[in-house]
Amino acid sequence: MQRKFLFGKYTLISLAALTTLVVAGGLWQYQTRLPDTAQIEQWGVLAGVQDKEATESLHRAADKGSALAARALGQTLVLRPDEASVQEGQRWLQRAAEGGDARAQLLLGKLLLKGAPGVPAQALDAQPWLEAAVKGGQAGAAHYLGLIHRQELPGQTRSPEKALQWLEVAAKAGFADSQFLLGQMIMTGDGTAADPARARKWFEAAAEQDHPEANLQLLMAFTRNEMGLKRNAEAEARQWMEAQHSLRHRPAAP
Amino acid sequence: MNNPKPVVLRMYYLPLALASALLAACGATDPGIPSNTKATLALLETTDLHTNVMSYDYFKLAEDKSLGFERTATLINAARAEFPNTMLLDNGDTIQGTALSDYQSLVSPLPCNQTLAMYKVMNLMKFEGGGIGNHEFNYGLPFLNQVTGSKFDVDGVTNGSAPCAGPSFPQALANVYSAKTKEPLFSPYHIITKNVSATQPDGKTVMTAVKVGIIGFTPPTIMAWDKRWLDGKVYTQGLVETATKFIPEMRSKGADVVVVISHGGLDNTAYDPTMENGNWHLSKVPGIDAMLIGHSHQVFPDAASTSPQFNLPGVDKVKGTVNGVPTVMANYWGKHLGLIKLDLVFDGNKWAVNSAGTKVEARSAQNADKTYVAVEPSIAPAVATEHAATIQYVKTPIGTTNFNMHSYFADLGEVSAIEIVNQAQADYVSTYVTANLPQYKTLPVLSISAPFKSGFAGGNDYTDVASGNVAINNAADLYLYPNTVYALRVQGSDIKNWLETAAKRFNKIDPSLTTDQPLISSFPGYNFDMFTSPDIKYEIDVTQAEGSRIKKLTYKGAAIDPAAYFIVATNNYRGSGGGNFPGIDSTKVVYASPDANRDVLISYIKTLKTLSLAKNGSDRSWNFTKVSTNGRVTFKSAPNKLSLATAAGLTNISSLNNSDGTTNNLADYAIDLSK
Repeated sequence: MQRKFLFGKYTLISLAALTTLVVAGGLWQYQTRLPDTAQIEQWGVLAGVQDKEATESLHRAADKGSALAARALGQTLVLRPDEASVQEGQRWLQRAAEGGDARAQLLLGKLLLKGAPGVPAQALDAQPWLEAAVKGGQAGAAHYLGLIHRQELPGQTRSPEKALQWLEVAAKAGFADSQFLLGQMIMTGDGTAADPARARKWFEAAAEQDHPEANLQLLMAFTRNEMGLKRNAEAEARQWMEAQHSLRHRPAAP
Repeated sequence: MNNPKPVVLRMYYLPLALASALLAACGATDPGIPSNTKATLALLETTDLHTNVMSYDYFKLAEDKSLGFERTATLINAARAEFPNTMLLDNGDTIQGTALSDYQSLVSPLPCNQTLAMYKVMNLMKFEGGGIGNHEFNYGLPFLNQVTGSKFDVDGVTNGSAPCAGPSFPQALANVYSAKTKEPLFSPYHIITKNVSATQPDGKTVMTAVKVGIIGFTPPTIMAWDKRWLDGKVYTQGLVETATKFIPEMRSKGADVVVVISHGGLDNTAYDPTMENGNWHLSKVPGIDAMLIGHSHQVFPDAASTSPQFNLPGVDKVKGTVNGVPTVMANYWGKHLGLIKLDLVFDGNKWAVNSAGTKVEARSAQNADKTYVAVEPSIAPAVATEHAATIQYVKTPIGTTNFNMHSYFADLGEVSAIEIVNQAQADYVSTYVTANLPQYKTLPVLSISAPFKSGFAGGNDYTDVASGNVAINNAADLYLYPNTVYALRVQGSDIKNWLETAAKRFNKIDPSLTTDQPLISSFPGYNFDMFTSPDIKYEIDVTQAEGSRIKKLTYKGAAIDPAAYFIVATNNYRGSGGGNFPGIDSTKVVYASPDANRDVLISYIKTLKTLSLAKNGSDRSWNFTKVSTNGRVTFKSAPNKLSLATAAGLTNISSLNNSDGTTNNLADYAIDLSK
């Protein structure tokens, strides 16, 4: 069927017409539709290596209302060393967060909690964004809520009980940093009764993910006969190796 | 590959036809062999060798038969004798991990015309291909470029006219790209023409060729782990996207067999292009015949494995398959050799794997009777010079000390083993802050550390470095744990809370009691953080309850301002919340350095060259609040060390006996808290 058309005497003209249609269609698509997730993620990767073109593409897509692009742009800008970039990044994260993007809410909460050049740390401002992010399915945000309640803040007293609850949410979602901190609180009996066996389970879960400090904790437990572990040359040697080795590749923070 | 049917072609179809013909030519294997010719190919995997060439521990300066490529080489020889065709491949994390690798990269950097000891012995054993692990990036891109004989087109890397010496086997890495060129840093894949002996249907043995495609992957998380070397210079792509792009290309270029060399483990949580262990998802990309994995330092297959990653759905830890793809992980440090035996059948056009014949195993260098296989004798002579130089380096004095550095009385305030650690940490962090964190350069930099060896395991569990030469292997006594330096930005109130937690090291002493009261609690010595600087002073009042013991806390002579900010140098354990010090956590970290506290200490001693008691071993920041007690306040330390306490000015200590009656080599002492 098509063969006849292609080999007909109007082949070239038809091809030219077809080409025009395809190009026009492409342009139409470019002007009215937003780029897909994979494209935005790729721009995000390249913007991370300060690629101008990718950064501009993210800008354009974010301007057109893509929350994903706004988040990706914000995420990369807040990591840059200068105040102007960080503050611009904060605005993009804020825009995506206000639009309900839970990941952007988490990133904004982290930024406010820790602070960055041009953005002073404001833990209590971070809190509502982090809570929204948890509700939106970003369990990693619970880690930072745990940190907020684990410390004494102007205007908020320390609550180890609340810290435990939040850390457990993040720990159960698999975040190694949260598993380690939860283990620390349970080991030392902060906000709960000290429970070495339960603490060890969390340390082991984190160590399984190459968490350096959890590996070190288990090493020290072996050498000190703690948490049900006993001195044992072979296990200690293995644990030394793990504690040392994992320093070079810690699991990503929530 | 199917031959195109002969057709009459019009002019504008010609390029396409030519391309098809070329592809067909590439894909066609030896046309001389008949259908149903069979061959067995055993893929052999090493992984995470970490420059353990010899069965040797450079820190203990002693043989360690449980590790080392010189024994793995024996397993390789045995496999080569057992199978008619083998292909030896390395999974990466190869060039970093021992004093030997530090020696060749940092101490006495390898000249361009020489090959790394690790690659030398791999060349000797005739490796046929390799991947790139995350640790390959640990010494930076210029070093990696040099020692792999590459020509990276990346900012910060300069290339000579010819590549430097490197491995004599091809290396593949598909998911790391140059930011400058947007091209892969290494060749993403190689298609290796492997000559194999095969058996024809008539039973005759023939030599023919199989095209084995190898494609390499490294964890995308290298961008965080080696940020200081990679940031802005390279970027990564996800495993699945990369494989989906390249594997069809490899097939179209004629690969009969596709072997993935992926440095990483298994993780079945939702796929993400930046995930560390993406191989569970990667295995689902069509067209993969075998996966060589690593990074986790574990053994797969292993029916007894309790590792969660090998008990995921789709993972057969007995057979060694991941979602049906034969997969092996060969432990670490050369302790195992991975092996995937593939049965190949020629169908007249191409070779394919007959999965019924696949067998996967990880072979240990340890025999059933707990002995180890013999060494391959050609390995040691090949690296004799480098091995000897490394031992010499580890033994070389890095400085001298005019005092005995010990921790026998560190719980009582003696600082001879701690001040040098604090000085090294403070110096390192100050330098970093000045250069890289201008916003904090006006803040005071303090350092805090603890006596890690404080007698828990008995009288030998103390730091004790004699006066005289200090060598690299002494540094492990001064800084026991594998930690990295962290810098925290904290307020005066945080410092007070920090010290209150540390002061849990002591029991609450009741001055009215006439009975003996032991001073030291069960709170671990490694959490007994202390400053050792004339700038910061405090008292610990052990008669008070926990949380109310720190008194007269001053900075430069004035009461510390709870709202003032300070930078405190410490370690990753504390900076991550270890010890559960309230408010001390990752949000306070302003620099999570990649450098080990021990290495920072070594380089500081190298800079100072001579250590003196006056400058490096006697600055106490704290004392006990004076109190008269009706009974004795006691503690334990190694026997017969009183003279060391006296020499350090701790004149309020007395010896009660030379043995506490146990077999722990400990003795009882008393401290008079009124003095």
